[in-house]
Amino acid sequence: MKCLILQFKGAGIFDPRRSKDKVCDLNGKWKRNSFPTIQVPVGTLSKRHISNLLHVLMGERPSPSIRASLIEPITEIVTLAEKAHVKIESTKDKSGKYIQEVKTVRKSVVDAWPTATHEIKLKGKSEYLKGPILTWEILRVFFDGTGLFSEFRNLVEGILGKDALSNRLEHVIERLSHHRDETRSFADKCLSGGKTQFGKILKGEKYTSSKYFNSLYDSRDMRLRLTVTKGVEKIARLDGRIYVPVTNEVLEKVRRGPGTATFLEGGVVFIEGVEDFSENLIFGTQEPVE
Amino acid sequence: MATKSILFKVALQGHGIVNYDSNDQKWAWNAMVRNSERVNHENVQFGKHRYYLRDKDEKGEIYDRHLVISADCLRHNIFIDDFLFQSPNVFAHPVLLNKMIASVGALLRGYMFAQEGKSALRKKSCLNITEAEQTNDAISTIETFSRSGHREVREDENDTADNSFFKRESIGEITYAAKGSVDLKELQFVSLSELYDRMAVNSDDFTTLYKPELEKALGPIHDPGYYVIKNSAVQTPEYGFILSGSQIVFLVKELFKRLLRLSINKSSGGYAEVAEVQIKYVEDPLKHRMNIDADWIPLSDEEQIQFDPDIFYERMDDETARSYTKLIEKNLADSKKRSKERKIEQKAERNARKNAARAVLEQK
Repeated sequence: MKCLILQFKGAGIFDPRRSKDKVCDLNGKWKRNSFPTIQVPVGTLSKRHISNLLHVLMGERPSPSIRASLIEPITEIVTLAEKAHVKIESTKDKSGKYIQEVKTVRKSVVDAWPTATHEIKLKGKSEYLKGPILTWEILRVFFDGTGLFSEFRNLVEGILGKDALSNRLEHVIERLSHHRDETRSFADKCLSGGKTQFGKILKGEKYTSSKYFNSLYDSRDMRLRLTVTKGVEKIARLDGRIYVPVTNEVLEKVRRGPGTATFLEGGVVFIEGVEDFSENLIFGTQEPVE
Repeated sequence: MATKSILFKVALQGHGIVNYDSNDQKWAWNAMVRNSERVNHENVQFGKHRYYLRDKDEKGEIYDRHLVISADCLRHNIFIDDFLFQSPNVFAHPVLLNKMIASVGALLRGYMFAQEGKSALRKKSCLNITEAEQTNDAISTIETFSRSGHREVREDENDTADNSFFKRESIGEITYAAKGSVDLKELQFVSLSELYDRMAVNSDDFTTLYKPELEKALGPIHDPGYYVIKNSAVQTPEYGFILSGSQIVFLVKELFKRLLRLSINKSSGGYAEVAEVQIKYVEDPLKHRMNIDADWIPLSDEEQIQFDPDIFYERMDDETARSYTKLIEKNLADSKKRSKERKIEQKAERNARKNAARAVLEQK
């Protein structure tokens, strides 16, 4: 029997205890703590990882490990993966875990509202708001199709003068907070016209800092949906080899495949060679886990 | 023989560090390397490292520390002129979205646009690249720097100074090496179907929005049809279109053009740029391997690239494909129905348990 030797480099594996945001959960239906995760002990890999890798190397489509899908893995290839042996060569720290690094990751659009805070002074009192800066352009899009935008501009011009229109909107809101009697009727119009968030800002009603601005961006209008779909996550990078006992038929199938594949998060796999299978060859390896 | 993929090796040279990691690296810095300056401060910037066990002595293990540029950083900088940013808001504008995904950069880099309530659009990248790892013997050190600028100070804090000191890892002349591959199979097919979880283009937008944009870059493209992977055990057809051989060669040239011109610059003074690229055409994956020294071609200009790409997909006639598709749709509907029935059963069971528990409480 022959043994196909595969070398993998830079294969990223997230710590399942830390990773919360998953792209597979687009509808936000999963409870964050009950995400399905693959628990892989240090020193080996999951059979599903190896099975998917072999699928790709043999020119077949891989089958998702976590998400529901129509694609079923091919039984013969799964059997090959079960017989594979893994040797991970990445360095571990003194506690026996792989050294982790920080990586930029994409995260689910759900719960991706910006959390950076910035200062705004309403009636002279500092408030720290969550969410992006409110600009004239965002307000224009927010009031689109209602005529309220030009009405607001007229109001600002009437109260603060024409020069105020060239100022930053947040600065204008700060100054308007000293003229609440004059802005009350416009604020009521916003509240009754479905533009509640802005009406509340003008009225200075009981302030719950994160809600005002985030609810403004949580609009059905996609142009206003400012979300931060990037985050950072800790990841361990694994280098190593996979030894797969194969027949000549399997090798012929690999020969017709692309000869290269991705592996886990950002890893690359190359074919290192084919040798006769022996116990010496797989010395120091581990079997993959379920 | 036709080419199935292209392997490449890249050598980079530069000065200083271009890819930093988090402050948590101080634990590895302090624990893994002897005779280095111990760092216990919070405001320290570390580069990304790999550690290798070199030897053991009476004091314990001796590790080598190599600086790396992560694969993500390399990929980001290879396509930096194609994608300034990727925002889910692009999803809202069909014209902008299709202009973006029909570009050369998007086909090469890959993309994913996912949105609640809509089918996700995704295309996997044909470029597989490892991190670039330090190859020379340069040793990094921790230096102290200062920064000046307005700081937000809390009311209860007395420190109002506008300058601060911080530490940062730094290094002089440095060389790196990375390797990777171009998967021509991934590049060849563009899916217009959700069947295999990889719809790259919405088929309703294909004729009006996507095709005209793509043809501007690649010339006339094939009409979509049903395709299966050649020699595959799975004969389920997938709706999409394949790129011609000349289009694939053009795209690969565009990819290596970006790779040859790769230059990573940091405002802190570090830079890294490509010094040398070598490629190898893979016709037989078991023979043309990364670890064999033969068949490598030095690449100085993307116009040197000439190959005949393999055809990985074959077209299935529409009638057979439709009969398969109908069967799949039926199976899918059945599976959804079963899932719904299972949920109803589970709900009924839960209610029965609740009622039983309530009855016991009432009896008490």
